[in-house]
Amino acid sequence: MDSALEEEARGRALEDSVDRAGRECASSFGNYGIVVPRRLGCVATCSRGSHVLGPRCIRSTNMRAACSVNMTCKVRYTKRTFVHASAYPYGGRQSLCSPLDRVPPHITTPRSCPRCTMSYLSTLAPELLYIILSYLPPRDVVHFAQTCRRAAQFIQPDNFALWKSAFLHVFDHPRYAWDALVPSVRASNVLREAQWDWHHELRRRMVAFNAVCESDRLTLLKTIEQVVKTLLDIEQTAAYTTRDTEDKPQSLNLAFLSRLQNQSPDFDSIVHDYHRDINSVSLPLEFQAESDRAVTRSMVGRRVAIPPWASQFHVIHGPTKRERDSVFSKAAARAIVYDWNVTGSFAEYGPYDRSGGVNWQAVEAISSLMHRIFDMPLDMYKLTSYGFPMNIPKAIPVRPDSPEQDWAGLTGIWLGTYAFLDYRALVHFNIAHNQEYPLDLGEYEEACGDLMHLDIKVSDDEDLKLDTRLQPSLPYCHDLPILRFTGLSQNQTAGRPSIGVRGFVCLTPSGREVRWRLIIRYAGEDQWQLEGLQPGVRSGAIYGLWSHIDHDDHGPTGPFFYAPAALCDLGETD
Amino acid sequence: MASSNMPSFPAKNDVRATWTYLEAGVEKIMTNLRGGMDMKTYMGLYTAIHNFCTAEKAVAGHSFASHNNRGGAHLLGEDLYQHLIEYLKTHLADVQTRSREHTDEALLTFYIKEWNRYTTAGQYNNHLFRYLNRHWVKREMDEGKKHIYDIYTLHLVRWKEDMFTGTQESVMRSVLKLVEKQRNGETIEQSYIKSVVDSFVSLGMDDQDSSRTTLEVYKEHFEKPFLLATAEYYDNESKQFLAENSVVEYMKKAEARLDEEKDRVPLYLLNEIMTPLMRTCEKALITNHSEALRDEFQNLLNQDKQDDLGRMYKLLARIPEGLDPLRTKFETHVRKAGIEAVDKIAAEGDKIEPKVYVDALLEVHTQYQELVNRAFNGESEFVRSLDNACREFVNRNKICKSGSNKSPELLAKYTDTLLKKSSAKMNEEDNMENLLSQVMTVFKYIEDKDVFQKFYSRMLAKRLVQATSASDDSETTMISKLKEACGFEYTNKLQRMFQDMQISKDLNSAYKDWLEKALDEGDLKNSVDATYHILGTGFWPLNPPTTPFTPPQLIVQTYERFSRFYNNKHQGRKLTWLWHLSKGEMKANYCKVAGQKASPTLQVSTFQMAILLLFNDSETVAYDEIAEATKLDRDTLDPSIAVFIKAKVLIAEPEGAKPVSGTSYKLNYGFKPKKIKINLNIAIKGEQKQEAEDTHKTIEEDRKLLMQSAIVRIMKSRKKMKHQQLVSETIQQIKSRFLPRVPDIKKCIDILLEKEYLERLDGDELGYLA
Amino acid sequence: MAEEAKTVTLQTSDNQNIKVDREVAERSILIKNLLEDLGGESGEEIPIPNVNEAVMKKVLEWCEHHRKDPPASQDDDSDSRKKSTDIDEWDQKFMQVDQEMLFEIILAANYLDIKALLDVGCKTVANMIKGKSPDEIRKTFNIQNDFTPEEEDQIRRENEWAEDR
Repeated sequence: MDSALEEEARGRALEDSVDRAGRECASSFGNYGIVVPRRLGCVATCSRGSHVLGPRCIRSTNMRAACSVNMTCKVRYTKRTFVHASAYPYGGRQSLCSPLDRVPPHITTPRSCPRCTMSYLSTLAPELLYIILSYLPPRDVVHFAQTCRRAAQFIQPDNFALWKSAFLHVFDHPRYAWDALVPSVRASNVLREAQWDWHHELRRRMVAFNAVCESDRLTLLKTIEQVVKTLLDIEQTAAYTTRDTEDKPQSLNLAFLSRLQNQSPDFDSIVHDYHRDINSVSLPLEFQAESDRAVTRSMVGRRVAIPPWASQFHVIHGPTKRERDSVFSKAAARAIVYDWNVTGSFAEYGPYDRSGGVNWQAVEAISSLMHRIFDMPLDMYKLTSYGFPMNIPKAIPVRPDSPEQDWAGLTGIWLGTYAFLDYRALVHFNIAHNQEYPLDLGEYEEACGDLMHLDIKVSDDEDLKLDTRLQPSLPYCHDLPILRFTGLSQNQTAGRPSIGVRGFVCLTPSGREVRWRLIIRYAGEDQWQLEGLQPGVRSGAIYGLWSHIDHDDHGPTGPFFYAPAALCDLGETD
Repeated sequence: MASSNMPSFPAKNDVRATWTYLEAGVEKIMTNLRGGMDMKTYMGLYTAIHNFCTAEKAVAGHSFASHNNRGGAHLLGEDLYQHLIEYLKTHLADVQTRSREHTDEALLTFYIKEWNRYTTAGQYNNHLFRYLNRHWVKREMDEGKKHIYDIYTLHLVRWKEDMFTGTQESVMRSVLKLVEKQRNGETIEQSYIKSVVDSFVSLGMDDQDSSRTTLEVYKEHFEKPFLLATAEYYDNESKQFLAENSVVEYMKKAEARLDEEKDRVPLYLLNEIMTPLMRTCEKALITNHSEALRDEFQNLLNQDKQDDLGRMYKLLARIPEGLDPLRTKFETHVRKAGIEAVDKIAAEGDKIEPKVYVDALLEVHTQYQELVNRAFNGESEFVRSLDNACREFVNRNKICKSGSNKSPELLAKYTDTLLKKSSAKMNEEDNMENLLSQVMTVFKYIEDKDVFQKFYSRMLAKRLVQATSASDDSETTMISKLKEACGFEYTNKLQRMFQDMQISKDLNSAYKDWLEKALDEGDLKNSVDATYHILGTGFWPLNPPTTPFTPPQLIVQTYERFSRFYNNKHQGRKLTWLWHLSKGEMKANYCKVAGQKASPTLQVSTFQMAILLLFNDSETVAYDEIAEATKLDRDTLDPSIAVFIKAKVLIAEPEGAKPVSGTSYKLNYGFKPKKIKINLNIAIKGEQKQEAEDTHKTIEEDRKLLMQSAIVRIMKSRKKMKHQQLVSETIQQIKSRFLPRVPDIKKCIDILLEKEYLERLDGDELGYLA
Repeated sequence: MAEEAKTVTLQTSDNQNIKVDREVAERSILIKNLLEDLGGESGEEIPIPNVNEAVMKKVLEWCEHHRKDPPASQDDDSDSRKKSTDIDEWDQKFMQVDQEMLFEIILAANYLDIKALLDVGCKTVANMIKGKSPDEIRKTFNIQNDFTPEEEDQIRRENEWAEDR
């Protein structure tokens, strides 16, 4: 817009107001947009102001040094007003209006200075406007922005403070999650922290929300990676920053995610249906609409390159209803979990890759299978330890009293179980059927162990430190020391003898997940090795694979799962 | 209206006028706070700032769509902030110029006065510019702008930049001069220094977070020069003092100086300086002279100057590794003292009294333990040195020159004398506890604990069998002390021996009941009143008798009856009678105690009993007859007879004849003993010595077995091992019992190779053969 | 004398003197600092040049009610917390004034540095904005729509993302 137009607009406004009230004030109130007095127009404003000055515009009197307004005033106003003004020559914009007794009775409109075209609200100093808007969530802020030009200008993305407060109405301050990062991860996060733009981040998150709730499938498909990564980011920066009505710690981010889950017409789709590669043969766009379409995108056959974020999101999200109902997805998960090739000595027999990183595809398959398997003893138990809330630390830092001694919070009771395929079926699947035409494991039911009760404790015993079975050979993140532990594994139901357990935890090379090894020992010998992963930020359940300690070729193997007892909801036995 | 010398109140959006107005006010506050401030001026200044900040700004208009400015969100205040900075710079430049006119204490007075005036003004300004702080400054800081501070901090920042930087060196020079004066004993105005410290500390602004302070400025510009000056001062002083005084005097001086410096800190320094200041003083006063101090140590030890030793300990304990050389010297000294103490008493040779020996050891230990506790604060490293020294002289001294097992033997014997019944002195119980603790003190140092164990168990066995133990309580105490020191295994047998005694007691009373039922009254009356000790073969260090022996019929009847009872109760057990440990009493009806009507009772061994019983059948018995009837070998028979001859119970014929074939003996009817009970059961000299030798021999055997079983144990778990490794691991395993010699271990390995427990593998490796 | 020391006199912009307990006046950090810095024992009136009598009385009414409140802590405006617009009952009632007075109170509280009052005022305004459409907000506050239709459309589209919640 050019200045001529603006000038014209201003003039019109002035004339209107003069017409309307005769002597209304159009002077320096209008400093924020609609009527912008220009420096050049100063004299004009003054002189015009001279006859529009009303009793509520005493503030102009302090311009006596600048022009003769005062003189004009003197003529216009009662003696008393003048005396008052000169006695206090510093009356500021503060006084919008003069003493009430001076107001003509008919001008009592509550919304604005009766003499001004301007609203009280839009004339406030920016610091005050900021305070008001800081009480409002983004939606109200943008509504305000749409009222007038000055408001629109006020909410520009570079109003750092305003957008920060708007962001914090909806999301947790990411600082808490960042503070909980181990040093090397924090170091790699520095750039992001430095460039953090509240408006941009807020917008990105809201856009993802709207995309999930509103977009048609094809549109969503185009941005699915963006959307899922944004949702993962929301999950990863969650912290308990507020409290609910019962004064329990609450995370705004988690509330946001569960709101999204509720409002989304088909949230399971985000978990299952989309693939980065639209043309992937493995995943027809129009999957059969029937119930059995619930193969998750990261469990589609063993040769497809899978984006880890997809698997990770599924793991963090937890099981879906569709997945539970689907035999197809069960078969897909089994095909990964029971494949002898999924791990090996190169990954220390755990769901890792060669560099110690997470094999998210495997972890996804394990978690999918194990959560399903927990339905089997559901007659007796109910475990609900999955989903978004499980994967942020209960408190930050995890153990403020002893971050070094037990940073993983491992000391305590863990509940879990393991599953195994009939050995003949395992061999059959792995050898008799080549991988081009794999055996459909949907037909087989694995057996599952009892609910195991793990009672472990951190130990700095020298023997454990030297124990050759408790040394990771894959790389790991050294920011936190390896913790070793010992304890007992008990069968929850029968009075079977306790079994000795020892193991270690360390951080994965990425520093975000925790790697676990458990060695099960009984009859005087080490028997089983359990290799697992805690996918959350040092919290939540452990998903992994078990194998015999000797790791014979073609030995039995299967998935296992442990969760902190505190997170498990143990239903009563009926 | 405001003070007359204030400029007129400014228009709210006029920067220049506003600042002109403010500057006049700030100048008043800076230079004439007391005189120039009234409420109107105060409110005027605050209001001018408020009005300026809330005023509309004369920004050039822009289209609403342009995003390249701060939109409507821009806060006002920067102009005032910049003006204030300029003002402060000018003001401080002047202060700094004036400071150059002063030196020493006058400079300090000036600095402190200006500092106080300036910071007070800063607080005022902080209030007056509060609107700026609340909004503009806060926003700038929230947005991460560097070098924006709240108004008070801004004052400090300017002082640091524009005043402190050019002045601090001369200020510090004056401070250090003052401190030196005080160290020299003069009285100084301490508050000067405290104010300077406070000022320097206040200037420690954290660049990252202006709400925090750091001690960096203080550390760099106060602490560092202060410590340097301190080091220099004490370097000089200590050198000079040592040149003119003794080490002992110097230690007193150093101690006093250290205390003085420590007390200085709370007076006017910052607590944080305590550690580095102490380090500095310690280096100058102790570390630099530690050689001289240590050289004095031996003299002080020789003269037993505990106070000075304590002082030296305290001084050297303050510096790293200060005490190590002392410990070495101390250890050597104690070892020498111990060896000398033993040398003194070693003249008596083998016949040395156990008590004399143990007392000598204890005396040295006690003396130096006391020294460690008093002078060396009971510090654990010195305790260790003491232990090392004691271990040395306890195990290796003149008495032990034949081998280290002399000490455990003597200690065991000493313990035996303590625990034995002795009419001479009844040790009171707490005294006994004390004495036993002393035994344990020495025991702790004994390397060959197995030797002690052997001797101790033999002597315990004797005490128990011969009922010569003074008190069960003391015995139990001693055993539990040993158990505490060496573990269950060590005392297992000792405890079993105790149990056997208890079981025997029960058994005897059961037997008596049985007898009463089984025998009629007459038989009961005629039977020998006997008690039996049944001792488990595996636990008791007792050997079967070395001599053949045919017990007299009377005894045979008695024990066979018991055997029947016992076998009835415990089938399949074999009883072996230890005649050499059995004893009895006989009434000599043929004579009377001198001056009394009663006949005396003779306490005799079973062997002696067998001999005497022969005289019931015949008044004179020939030596050959005795030998034939008892079947005793000469080594036992001859001394037994000799006791009778000596006690005049028997008379040899011919008189004085040696116990050989042809000699005969008759009862001495003229025997008139003075006491009712006469103990004729006197241990045979040769027996005792023999016993000691035997004990030593069995120890060697036991050791071989112990080493072999340790080796087998190790190899069983390791399967394969290098020779050298095996040797050292074996030593590890058994050193708590005794210190094995490497050649002995090698011998044992050879034996095991021969027995095919082990096999030789390639490259010096040994393998385990299951 | 002791009684005297506990009250101060405020002189408003319209030259009216108001006598008030010092404790009440000191809810204003401005006045508190002034009294601390200058002693305030003289009994001299404190000039409050930016607030008139009517507004001052209203502000003092609030201060009187809140005279015993604990002083606002430094971290009160911790920016990492979602801000609540809850207002306690008395304050709500207190704020039932016409918009003119409402904004006068906000300005005075800002000037006098009474943070809690400023917050209550701002919350009240925030609540008047909350949940309203742009047009309703304009009506509520008598804001003149100075957009061209194109601009209005543009600004609406630019901020659409924040709408659906």
